[in-house]
Amino acid sequence: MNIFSGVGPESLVQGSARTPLPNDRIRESLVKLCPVFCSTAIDTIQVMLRQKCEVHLPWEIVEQLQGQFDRILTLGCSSNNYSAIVCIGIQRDSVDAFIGTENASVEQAADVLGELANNYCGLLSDNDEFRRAFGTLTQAVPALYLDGNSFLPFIWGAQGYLYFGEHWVYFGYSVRNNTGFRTPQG
Amino acid sequence: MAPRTIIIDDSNFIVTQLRKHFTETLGHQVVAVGKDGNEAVDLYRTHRPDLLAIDLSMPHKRGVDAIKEIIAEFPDARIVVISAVRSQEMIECIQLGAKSYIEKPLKFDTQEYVRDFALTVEEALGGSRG
Repeated sequence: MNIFSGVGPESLVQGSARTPLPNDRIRESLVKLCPVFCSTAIDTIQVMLRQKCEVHLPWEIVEQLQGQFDRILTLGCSSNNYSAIVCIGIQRDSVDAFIGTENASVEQAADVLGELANNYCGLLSDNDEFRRAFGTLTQAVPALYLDGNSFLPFIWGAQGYLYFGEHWVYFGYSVRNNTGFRTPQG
Repeated sequence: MAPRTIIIDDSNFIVTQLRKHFTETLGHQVVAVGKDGNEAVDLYRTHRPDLLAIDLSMPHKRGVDAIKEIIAEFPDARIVVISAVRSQEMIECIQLGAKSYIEKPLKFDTQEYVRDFALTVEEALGGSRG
């Protein structure tokens, strides 16, 4: 027996081999998927940290994700067709309330936020709409940046804030196709 | 006799939950914990456990590469992958010889997940226990 999310491994990896969307069509897909990015973030936090989050402002589609937070976790994901970045941002004084610790170290924050980003990607891959648009992307190893020192490229993405009590956490997901990285066939 | 289990995951947050679940709920003896694929191979050689529970996305050496090495050296190894990765990599692990795959996020407060987790682990152990 394997514990899969009901869709099975074969269907999870389907779609990855399709012709990638051009980047202007990716923006359209992101608009349609914006509620999925938001609800999946809420679900991931609920399952992993048992925090119930609320949305106060609608999530939006942007040309570049924000990168100015005290703690910024980024996770790269890729397939043959797409490259994506997950970004989770939080302020220093919200970390303990978010991950349920007291005086969490930078390492502890990186640990939990990294796992959160990994699981976020996994749950996005379980979503039919997301998979139809982008297939399944493989996750790299997360990296934590401090004090706004991240570099996030200009790539269309969905982003928004989730509120828990008096605190918030930022989620962003940007994605582009790999066409621009390929050498033309001669 | 309690199954001897090794847990490999780069997240302390996850290891804490897995160790508690394997020992308190499943009655395993967790004999070692590692945080990447290199440690998985070394710890497997040292302890020869009944079960290896391993993540895929880890620094230095990914889980799939560790599984490849371990299965080549110990073809009867009992390996369960526990990961949030959903890509071709998880199918590759099963093809290489991992017994089963459990998806993250861990949902140990959900009865159905806990039951399926236990069945999956039990089935993975099945062939090696008398």
